[in-house]
Amino acid sequence: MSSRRVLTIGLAVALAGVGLAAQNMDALLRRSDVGGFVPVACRIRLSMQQEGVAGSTDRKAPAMSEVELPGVSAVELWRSGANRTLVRFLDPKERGKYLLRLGADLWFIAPGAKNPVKLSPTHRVYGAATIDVLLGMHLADNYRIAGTSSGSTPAGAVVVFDLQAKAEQQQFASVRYTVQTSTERPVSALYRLHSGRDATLIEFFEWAGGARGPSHAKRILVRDLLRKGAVTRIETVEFEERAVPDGLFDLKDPSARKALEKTVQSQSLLKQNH
Amino acid sequence: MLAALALRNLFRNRRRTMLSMVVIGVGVVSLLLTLGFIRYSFDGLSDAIIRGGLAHLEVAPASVGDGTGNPIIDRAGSPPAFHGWQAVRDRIESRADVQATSAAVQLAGVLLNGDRSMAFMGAAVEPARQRSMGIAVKLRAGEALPDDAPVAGDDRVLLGVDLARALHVEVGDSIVAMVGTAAGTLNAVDLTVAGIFTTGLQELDARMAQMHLATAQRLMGTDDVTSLLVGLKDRAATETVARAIREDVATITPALTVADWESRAPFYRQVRGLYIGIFVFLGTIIGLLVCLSASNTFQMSVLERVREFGTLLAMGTDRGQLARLVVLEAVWLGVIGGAIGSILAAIIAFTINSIGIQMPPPPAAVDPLTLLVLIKPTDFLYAIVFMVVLLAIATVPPILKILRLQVVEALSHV
Repeated sequence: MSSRRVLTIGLAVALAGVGLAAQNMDALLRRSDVGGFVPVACRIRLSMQQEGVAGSTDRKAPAMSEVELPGVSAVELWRSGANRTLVRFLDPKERGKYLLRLGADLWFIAPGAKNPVKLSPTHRVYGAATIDVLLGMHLADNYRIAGTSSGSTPAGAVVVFDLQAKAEQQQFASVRYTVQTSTERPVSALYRLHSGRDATLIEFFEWAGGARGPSHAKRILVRDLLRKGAVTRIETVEFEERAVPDGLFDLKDPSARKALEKTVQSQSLLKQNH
Repeated sequence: MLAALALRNLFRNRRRTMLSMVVIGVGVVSLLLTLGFIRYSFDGLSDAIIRGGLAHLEVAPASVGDGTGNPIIDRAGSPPAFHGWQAVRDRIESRADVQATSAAVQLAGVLLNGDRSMAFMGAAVEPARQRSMGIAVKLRAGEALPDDAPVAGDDRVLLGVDLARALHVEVGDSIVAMVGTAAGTLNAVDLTVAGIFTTGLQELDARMAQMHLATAQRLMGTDDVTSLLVGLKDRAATETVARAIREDVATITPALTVADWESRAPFYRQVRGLYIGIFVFLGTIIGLLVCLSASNTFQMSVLERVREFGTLLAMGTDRGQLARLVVLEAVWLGVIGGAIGSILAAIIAFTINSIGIQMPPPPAAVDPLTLLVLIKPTDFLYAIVFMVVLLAIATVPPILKILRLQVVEALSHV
């Protein structure tokens, strides 16, 4: 075999290897993308707490499932399809308020206002948490891999993805996405603005669900780096994969949402009586 | 004896004395009219600030703002944090020197009318209490807020003239107010535009909205208020009452601050500083002109009387007596010129006040200004004393000349 032929075969093998590696990385990103974990139709109940309002932000701080704690806010997310999300505020003073995301639009529905009010899609649900933070940003679809590197954490080996936004309209120009190799679940996501400034750091602590099927982070820590690192702790209190009534996402007709409120009220009355 | 001689000396050269008196009189008139206008401006501005919504005193939690900046800007972004304010209000209102006390909520948010939206700064008040404090809303259209707390769904708002214009709304239209709640979430409430008002300042007219306290508390999801506004029966007692209330609420926790209207009105402090600066500048120029003019007159008067002074010295008159004579002449000139100027100033001030001259609105203000001159009786006295002092200073060069006078040379002076 001539040396030229050996060189050609070697080059082809190397290129194939590089291509395969890139494909593997793409696949790993897709498998570890939070936006891809959340079931198409589901209901998620979250409790959220801002640092400095109550309690500490210690990573091993006790769970805050009791939504009655001061400074702790509870919300319920209803999702149907990738483009429809309803955020329902559960605190007694916040009852009847919703954030409704329909495609790229975000609407605020309040009991005191007849018509929904349009908000910026990046509006924060509570503290530093936006709907994208809670449900993921579909990184595999909206960002391309600009580079990868390997590393290790006390929990094991990780792959760090440097992602660049495919479209300029994305709120964040780049993301540093760290994935644990063994579980294929994200450890953290650092979002950067177009100016290059770090904006938000999301840390994931505990994952529920199978490695391949629907899954959700039990605890999330969101650090708002633009506001002196203000921390919002998010805990998944309930997670239910279920069919979601279309009426909940009706912008004009609030009857389905009112029915939901009544159901919840009667349930809580039953609980109290019990 | 010396005083009478000095007075008679003044009339030896009547034309020169009259000229000096005209200079002094014009100076006094200028000073008194400027002082009167500045006093009117201070009084008018302070009254507008107090009755425009700031009240005489404000009692607020010490943690919110420091009470020395602009309260609207300091506190609009902070949620109401005054717990148990009703008990404090009752305590303050029980004082005999307090006219009324009203709770207030300051808020900031967005007003929406269809696709139009404008950021606003809101002041939520108790209309009946504010009225009894003398705080009035300058309505341009519509009606004032109702005294009773509105029920949910019947919330009303007063909009600043330019804010209403920017939102394209009129009286009776419905808009949405959206604010951040005390809990850190969002809330929105439909509001009916009850009226359109002016704050008197263009900048604020483009941002200010006023609503009932109950509406703001509903919007912000709280029963707390931002502060208590205290209206007093007598403005002059502001400091005394502030001290008394401060002592009274000292035991309350969390701590409360009591701030008077002046410390919460940076605009007033700026205007006051500017006007005082102008007055001092003008006073200096007038003083300088009068002083130089009078000094020249006295110099001439002494030069004309060198032989006379020489004769007096030869007869054994003390140099100090001569100096006192010149000073007394200056005093008489100042007293008579100042009195004439004061009388003239009083006549001119009375005429101006009677005519009611309208001036264009000051910078950033909305309404034209009626020119008024407020002169206090003590001002006349101060003006005369000021002139006497100036003229006494003006006598220094001629007195020096008298002190250096040689009797022989003086007697042969031509």
